[in-house]
Amino acid sequence: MNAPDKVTRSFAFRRDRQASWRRLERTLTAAESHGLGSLTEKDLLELPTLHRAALSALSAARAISLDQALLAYLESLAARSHACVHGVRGRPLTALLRFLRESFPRAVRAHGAAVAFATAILALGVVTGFAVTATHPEYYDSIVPPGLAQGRDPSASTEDLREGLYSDGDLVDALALFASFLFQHNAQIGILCFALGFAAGIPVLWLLFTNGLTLGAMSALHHGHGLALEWWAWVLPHGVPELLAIALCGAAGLMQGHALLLPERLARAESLRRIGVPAATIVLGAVALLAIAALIEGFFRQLVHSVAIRTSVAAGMFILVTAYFAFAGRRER
Amino acid sequence: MTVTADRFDDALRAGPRVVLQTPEGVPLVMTLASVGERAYAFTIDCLFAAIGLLALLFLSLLTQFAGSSLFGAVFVLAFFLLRNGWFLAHELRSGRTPGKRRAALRVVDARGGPLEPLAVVVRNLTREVEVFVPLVLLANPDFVLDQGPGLVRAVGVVWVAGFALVPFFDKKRRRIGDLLAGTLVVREPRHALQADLVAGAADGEDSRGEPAFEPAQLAHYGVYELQVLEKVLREEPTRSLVLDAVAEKVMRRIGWTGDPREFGGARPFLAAFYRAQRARLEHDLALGRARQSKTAATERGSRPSTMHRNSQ
Repeated sequence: MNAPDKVTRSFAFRRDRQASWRRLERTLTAAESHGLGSLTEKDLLELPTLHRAALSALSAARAISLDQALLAYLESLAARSHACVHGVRGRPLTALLRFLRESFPRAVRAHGAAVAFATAILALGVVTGFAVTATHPEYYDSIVPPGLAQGRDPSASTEDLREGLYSDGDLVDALALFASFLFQHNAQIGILCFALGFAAGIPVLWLLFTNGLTLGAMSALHHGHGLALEWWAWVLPHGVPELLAIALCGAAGLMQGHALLLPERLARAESLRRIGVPAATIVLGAVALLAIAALIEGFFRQLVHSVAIRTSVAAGMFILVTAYFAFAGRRER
Repeated sequence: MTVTADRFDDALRAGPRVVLQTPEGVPLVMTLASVGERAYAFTIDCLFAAIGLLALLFLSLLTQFAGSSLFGAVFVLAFFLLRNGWFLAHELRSGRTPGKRRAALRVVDARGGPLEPLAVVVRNLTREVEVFVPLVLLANPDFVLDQGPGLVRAVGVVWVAGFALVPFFDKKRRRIGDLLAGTLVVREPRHALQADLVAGAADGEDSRGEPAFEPAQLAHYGVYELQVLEKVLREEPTRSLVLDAVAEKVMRRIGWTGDPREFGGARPFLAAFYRAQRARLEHDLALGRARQSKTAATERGSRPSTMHRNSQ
């Protein structure tokens, strides 16, 4: 009878290494169920070594072993280990701070042209909505959905409109509902804007334009009743971050549309993949801006009625946002 | 042996494969998840998220919190977080959601590198349009396309439903989120380390001595047949008609004239043949001339698909 290790090299190969594979397997099972943080320091230090050993064993086994079960085992072990060693990393708080300090403002600056274009479409919507309503008030209803207008239409008196600008929230939790509703509603629109980007950017242009139309039409309505200053004082404190966020989401969608329609020398899939991450960075930042806008809209607007304070908050927001995008993340750290 | 080949051929069941280039330089072969498996994982995740919302509702009914308007705020916020955050949080933590874990699937970077957190964010943000919008549209077209002529609505429905169907047409079964993020969803099968069939001889499984094979008798079969034999030996019970039939076929082909009962029956005979054949083929493999299958050297030279790992 032949000794097995004389029979096949692959037998000896496996016999000498299987203890380390089993050790890696144990470490992976622990890491998969309780996270890398649950590993002991020894296991953690050993992990990269065991991972590389498993990969080189896989590579060798492919060359010398015809044991199918062994190959399947090593393939699955290496895949698990790869996922564990090269999986997603990072502490949430550090990642969030880095995102706000560097990634977000840098991505916006890097794609300034798209942001400018989206802003222009939004502004075009505002101007069109304003012009149409100012000259043909009968079109107001088809521009502003009744749910959004809430009685603020051409038939309303100046007093009604003024009341709308100074409405009181009577309960703090009613305000909380308002804020949360707006956050959900607006953030969902922003995400939709981004997600529609791969549809060649056309739905994004439409969303940007119609959002602008609504704002323009309502502005024209208030201007017509001599409430211009009050209206802008009401809109702009939350409007600055909100409109910017909408423009940013639109820009992200347009970037994808551009990558899809004009991939230059890349394959379309590759072109989309390259734009995916910066576009998502911009959308995530925009969601944060929408959260700020919703807080202002839900609380500040209901609690503070002074036109002077409202105007200065709007101006403050504008300066803050401009400074943020102009300077944040400029310095390499 | 062709009788058993169909029964055990993994290649017939497996999906398309992809090769990931790892930073360590060893390519990993992975099987892409099927659309059905992904839908299964997604359904489980939706169930979990729905259970979360129902639990919140139930708790607030118990505490009479449901009546207050603060409840509305909390509920809406929870809905937003569950809808957008469930997949995100789990995939950021471990590369798979509870649904994917149950379906044995995982998200990987298509180039074999580390999975970037932002890539995970991208693939989950687009789910909104790929899945939820078509679902809402199918359930209630008025909700999305509130006014508009019938033709526009019909085109809209087809257009949006088309997004959900992208994975059916992509050859790597990517959905749009995967295309944007540069990710793939692959199967993560678990294979336990099984006993080495070669080790049987060392364990004294057979006390009556091994049948000895002449070099010429080991020249009939290739790698493909060896691995089919491996499956037969691993999966068939000891007293199996399949084993008897396989042993008979092998004996006829290699011109073995003895009686397998001399060595304790079909299984010990086949185990001994497996050991000798594997030693021979692994030796040839080291020299770069291992035969791929019994037909390889004769006429067509075609290789079975399962062999691609050993073919180079």
